[in-house]
Amino acid sequence: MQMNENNKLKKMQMYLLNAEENALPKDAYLQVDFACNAKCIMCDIWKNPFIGDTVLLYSIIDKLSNLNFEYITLWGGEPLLHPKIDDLIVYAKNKGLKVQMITNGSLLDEHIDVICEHVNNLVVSIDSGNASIHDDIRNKPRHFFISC
Amino acid sequence: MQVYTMILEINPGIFSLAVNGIKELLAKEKHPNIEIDCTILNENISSLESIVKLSKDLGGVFVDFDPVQILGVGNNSKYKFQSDISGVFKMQELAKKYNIEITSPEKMKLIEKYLKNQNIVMPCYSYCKDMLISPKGDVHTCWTIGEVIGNVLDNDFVNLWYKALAKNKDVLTGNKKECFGCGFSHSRMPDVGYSHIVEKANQIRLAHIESKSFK
Repeated sequence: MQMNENNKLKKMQMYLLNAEENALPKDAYLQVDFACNAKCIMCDIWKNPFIGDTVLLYSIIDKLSNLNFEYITLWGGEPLLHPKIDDLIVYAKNKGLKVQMITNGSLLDEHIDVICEHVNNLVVSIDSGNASIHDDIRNKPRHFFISC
Repeated sequence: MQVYTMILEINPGIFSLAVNGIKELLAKEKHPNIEIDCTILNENISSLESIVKLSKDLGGVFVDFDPVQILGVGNNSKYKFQSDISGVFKMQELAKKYNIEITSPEKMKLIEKYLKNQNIVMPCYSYCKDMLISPKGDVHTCWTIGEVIGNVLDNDFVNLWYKALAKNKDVLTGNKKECFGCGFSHSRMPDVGYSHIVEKANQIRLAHIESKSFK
């Protein structure tokens, strides 16, 4: 989990403490799917559009909680394409995990409330401030209708 | 006779959707911490300043830059980075001018080194900091090596994790050959002032590996 300077320091202190205790990591990056609505030129994940089984994902979150993980990052693919992503976010949060999500941002408007309420850190992948360059990198150019 | 040309955007494009989504979140009284992650590629390296301007327009959202990662889990191994990197410096200057928080200068130095195809040999904290888990529960050694340690739901998973660490202990010193070309900066390149913490922690881990606890 990236987060800003205060959290980075905390993460580094946790890393040292973890080493002293010879403990497992505390930071899990769980791919909830491989499906994506973009086809980024530098990525291969979208080529296998697998959606994770929700019950299995709950079991994984349970196990991470039992193993004393503190942070979980839900990502994919595009995590917001998972049909039960809102439930997964809430479930992880209710297990006491701090929740981060990595997303291409294209579906944020459909999940605003749950994200605001339960996600601690949101990472939005944007590779250019120029819309055309960004959309070309996502391999999902805009489509125009032209009439004269 | 006048001819009118009408251009309608049928699909608003993923950029517009993402930026509008961020604006919608920021408008809420309670919202998560938001950051932008920007991968440096051939296609955007000459226009990285545009990301800094976007951050400014959004009120100064933190921007984390990372270089395109060729090796490892989920990456396009056929991608070749071969561009002039002066765009990186221009972007850093603009961020300084606008007072936008971006990836630390120390990390950016390592990113520049990676983009120039120079080997990076330094203690890595990926293995002991993060656990990379697939939708089926398979756990990878790290983002670059990508070897599956086992399934997190296995009863003996904890033992499998420690055994894999002992097997890959060279990652702790940075002397594992597969790591030299790794550009996964989030886990490999600590931010300013933290390298000594990683080095110290990794030495402690190595001492554990050499002790009876791993035999």
